[in-house]
Amino acid sequence: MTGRSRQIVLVVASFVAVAFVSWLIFIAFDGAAIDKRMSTLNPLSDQAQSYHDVYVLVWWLSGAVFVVIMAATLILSIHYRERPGVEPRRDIHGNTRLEILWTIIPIVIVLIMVVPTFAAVLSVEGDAEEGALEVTATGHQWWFEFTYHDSDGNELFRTANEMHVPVEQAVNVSLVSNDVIHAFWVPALFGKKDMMPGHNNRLWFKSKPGTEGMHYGQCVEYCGDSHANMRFRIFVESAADYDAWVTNQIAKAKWSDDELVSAGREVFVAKACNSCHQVEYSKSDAPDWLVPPTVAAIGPNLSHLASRTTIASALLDRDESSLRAWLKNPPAIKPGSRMPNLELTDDEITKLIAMLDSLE
Amino acid sequence: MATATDGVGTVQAEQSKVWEWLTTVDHKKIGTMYGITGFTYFLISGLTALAIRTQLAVPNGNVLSAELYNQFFTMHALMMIFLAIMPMGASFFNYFIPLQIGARDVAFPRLNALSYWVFLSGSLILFSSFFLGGAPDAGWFAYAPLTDAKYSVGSGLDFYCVGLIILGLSSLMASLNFAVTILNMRAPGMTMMRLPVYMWMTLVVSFLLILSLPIVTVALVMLYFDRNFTTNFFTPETGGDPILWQHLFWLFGHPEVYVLILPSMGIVSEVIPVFSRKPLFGYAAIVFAGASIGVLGFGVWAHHMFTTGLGTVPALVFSATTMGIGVPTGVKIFNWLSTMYGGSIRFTTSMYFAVAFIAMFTIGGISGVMHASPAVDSQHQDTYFVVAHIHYVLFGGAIMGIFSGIFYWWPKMTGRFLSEISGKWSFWVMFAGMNLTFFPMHFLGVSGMPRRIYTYDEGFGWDDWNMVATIGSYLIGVSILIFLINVFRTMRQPATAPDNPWDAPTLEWATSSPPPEHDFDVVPEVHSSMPLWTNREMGIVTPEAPEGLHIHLPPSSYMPLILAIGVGLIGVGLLSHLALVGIGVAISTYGVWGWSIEPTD
Repeated sequence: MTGRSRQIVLVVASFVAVAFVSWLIFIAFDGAAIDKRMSTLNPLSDQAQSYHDVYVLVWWLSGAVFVVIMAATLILSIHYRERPGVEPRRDIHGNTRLEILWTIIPIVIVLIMVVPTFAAVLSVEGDAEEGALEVTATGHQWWFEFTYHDSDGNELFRTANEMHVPVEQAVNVSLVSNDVIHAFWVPALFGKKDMMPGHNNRLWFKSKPGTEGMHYGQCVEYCGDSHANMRFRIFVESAADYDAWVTNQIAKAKWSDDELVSAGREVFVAKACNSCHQVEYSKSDAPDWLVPPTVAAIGPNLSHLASRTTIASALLDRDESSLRAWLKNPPAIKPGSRMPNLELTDDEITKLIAMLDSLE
Repeated sequence: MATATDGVGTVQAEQSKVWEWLTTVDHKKIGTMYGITGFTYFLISGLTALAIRTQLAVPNGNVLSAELYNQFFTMHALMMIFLAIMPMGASFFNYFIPLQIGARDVAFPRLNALSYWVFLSGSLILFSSFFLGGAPDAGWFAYAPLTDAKYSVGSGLDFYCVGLIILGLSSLMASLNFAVTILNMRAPGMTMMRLPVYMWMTLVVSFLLILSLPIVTVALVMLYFDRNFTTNFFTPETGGDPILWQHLFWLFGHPEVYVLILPSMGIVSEVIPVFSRKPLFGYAAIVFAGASIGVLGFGVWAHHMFTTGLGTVPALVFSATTMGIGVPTGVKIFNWLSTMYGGSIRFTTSMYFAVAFIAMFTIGGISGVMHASPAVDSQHQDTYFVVAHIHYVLFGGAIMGIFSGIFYWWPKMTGRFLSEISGKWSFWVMFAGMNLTFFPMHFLGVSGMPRRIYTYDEGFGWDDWNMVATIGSYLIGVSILIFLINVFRTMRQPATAPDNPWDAPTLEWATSSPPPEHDFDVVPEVHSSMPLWTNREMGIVTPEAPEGLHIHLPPSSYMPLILAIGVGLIGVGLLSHLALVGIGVAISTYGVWGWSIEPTD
C-alpha cells in the first residue's frame, strides 16, 4: 500500500472504531429509558419535554465532538508513532489561522446550545397560568409532606410521600423545608428544584395527555443520614379519580368501632404516637383524650394512611409485614429516623396495624 | 546539612537522617515529602472509594452503615482534593519550579518548609476525625444548615472547619511562595513568554489559590462560629441564610476545580512535545487559554446552584459564562493534538498517560459543557451523571496527568527509571478500570440514580451498571498495586539515569539526575521556551563549572517545624480545650521569634 492509501485506511478505520464505540454508548444511553423508574429520558410533562429537547440537542452536539476528538487522538497516535527514518517536523510551532478556527468552532457550538437553553429556561421559569392547582411540598428529614390548598389559598388537607394530581392540569408546587435543604424531583414530570429553608422556591408542571399512572421521585440534595431513603411518588389521575381522592382526603378520619381498632387507638395515645402524628377524627366521634391539642408536623399526617400505597417515605409497600417491621424498629429501616424504636410488643403492633388499616 | 557546597561534591555534616528531613529547607526534599504524604492519602482515600463501590455493588447492600457511608463519601472527596491531588501537585511544584526556571531554591525556603509542616498538621487533624468521634459527613461541600450543630451533632464538622482552615493556610503560604519565585527568580533570558507551560499553569494555580482561599477561610470561620458560638450566618431560623454558604463555598470551590486540573494540563503540555519530539503547538495560545480558564473560573461558581432558585437572569448569565470556559479548553485540546501532528511519537508510559489525559479529560469537559445548560443540569444535577463528569475530570484528567508526570520525572527525581513494561500494564489496567467505573455512571445518571445515596432498591434498573462500576473500581485498585510494586522494585535498582534521558527541552534536564543540592552547577543560557533544544540548534554549550565553585545555600532550620506544631496545637485546641489554644499560640510565637532572629547565612 502506498503511504496515501494507508493514511486513508487509518482515518476510515479510526472513525469506524470510534463510531462503533459511540454506537454502543448510544445503545446504553437509550437503555436508560427502558424499565427505569426514574429515567430522565421519558418526559411526560410539557416542562420535562422542553428540557428534554435541549438535552437531545446537546447530546448530539456532544456526541459529534466526542467522535471527532477520539478519532483524532487515535489517528494521530497511530500515524505519528515513532518509525525508523521518519524525522519529527520540528519546524511546526503553531498556526494562527488554525488556532483562530478552533477558537471559533467551540464558540459556534456554544451559541447553538445557548439559544434553545435560554428559550427552555424562560418557558419553564415562573408560575403556571391562572387556575392552576396549588400544592405546597415540604421537605422533612426524611419524608415529604404535601399540603393542598383551595383557590383562595386556604389549606384543605395534608398528606405525605404520595402526591396526586389530575392529568393535563397545571400544578404550581411551592417548595419549602422544615429543616435542611432537600430537593424535589420527579424526572418524568419536572427537573430538580431545591427545598431551601427560609426560601420559597416554586416549580410548575402540566402532565401530558395519557400520562395517568404512578411516577417515582426522590430527594436529590444530600440531607443527612437517610437521604437515600427519602423517596416519594406522584400519581397522575383522571379528573374523576382525582376528585374522588380529594373528597376522601378532605373528610375526617374514618371512625370504626371494631374492637381491635379501638384497642389500637388506645395504644396510639398510650405510646404518644399522637404527639407527632395527627389523625383527625370528627369531634362527634372521638373522645377528648384522642384529639391532640395542637399538632406539630413532626411526622406524617395519618388520617388517611390506608389510602396510600406505601409507608416510610415510599420505602416500603403498605402491607402487614412492612408495617410490622417499621413499627418494630423504625431506625433499623430508616437510619437516623426521628421516629424512635418504641419497644412495642407484637400485640401492640397488631392493634396499631388494625387501627392504621382502618384509616382509609 | 551542609550550608555550602564545594564544587560538585557535597560536604555532609554528621547528622541523623531524620533530623535532616525535619529541618530541611531544600525544595527537592520538601517536594518529596509532599509527594509521599500526598500519595499515602491517595491510597487511603482510594480505599474509602473501594468501600463505597462495594456497598453499592448490589441493591440494598449492607457493607457500610448509612452513617459510615456518609463519612466515607465526604472524606473520599476531602482527602482526594485537599490531601492527595493538591499535595501531589505541590510536590511537583516544589521540586520543579526552581529546576525549570533555573533557580537554586524557592524564594522563601523556610516558608516552604512551614507550608509542608502546616499541611501535615492540618491533614492529620482532618484525618484523625475518623478515630475521634466520627469524620465529617455532610459532603465536602457541607451545605448549611445540615452542618449546623442542630443537625450535625458530633464534632465531625468542627474537624472539617479547623482542618480545612489549616490546610488553606498551608496552600496560601505555598502559593505566595511559588508565585514570587516564578515572577522573580527566573534564569537570565527567561522572559515570561519563555516560561515552560508547566510553570505558567503553576503561576495561574497559585493566583487562583491566593484569590479563592480567603473566601472559603472566611466561610469556614463563620461556620465554626455558627456551630460553637451561636452566631447566625447560615441558620435560617435566626435570620441567617444557607444560600450565603453556597455562594462563598463555590466562589472558592469552582476555582478549586481548576487548581486541581491545571497542573495536570501543565504536565501534559511538557510531556506531549517531548515524546512527540517537536515543539508545543501554539505555545502562546496554550498559555493564554490556561490563564483565561483561571480568570473565567471566578465567574462561573453559581452553575453549581442552578437548582437553588437562583432566578432566571443569574441562571442564564452563569450558564453562558460556563459554556464560555469550553472555548479556551477546546483550544488547549486542539493544540495538544496538533503537537502530535507531524511528530515521531515515542510511546513511553508517560506519553500513554498524557494521551489518555487528552481523551479522558475531553469526555469530562464535554459533560461539563452539557451541564452548563440549566435545562440539562436540572435533570442531572445530583445524579450519577455528575459523578461521572467530575471523575472524568479529576481521575481521567488530574490523576492521569499526575501519573504522566510521575513516569516522566521519576528518573530526574531518583536517578532511576520506572519499569516501562510494568508501567504500561498499570496504564492499561487503570485505563480499562476507570472507564468501566466511571462511564456507566453516565447511564446511571440518565436513569435517575441520585448521588450520595448509601443504598438503592431493586426495581429502579440501576443494578447492572453499578456492578460494572464496582468491578471497574477494583481494576483501578489492581493498577495502583502494579504501580506500587514497580516503585519498590525500581528503588532497589542502581541509579543509572543520565541528565536528559528523554531529550527534553526544559532546564530541569540540564542538571544531574537526581539534581545536586544546589540544583545547577551552571545554569544554561535561555533563548526560548525550549532552551536545551534551542541551545543545541544554536550551538551554545553550557560551560563546565569552575574549580572551587562556591554556592551559598540557606541553612536548615527547625523553626518552621516548631511554628507548624504551634499552629497544629491551636487547631487541636479549637477541637478540644481552649487552654491548648493558648499553648499553641505560645509555641507559635516562639517559632516566629526564633525564625526572625535565626541567622540565614
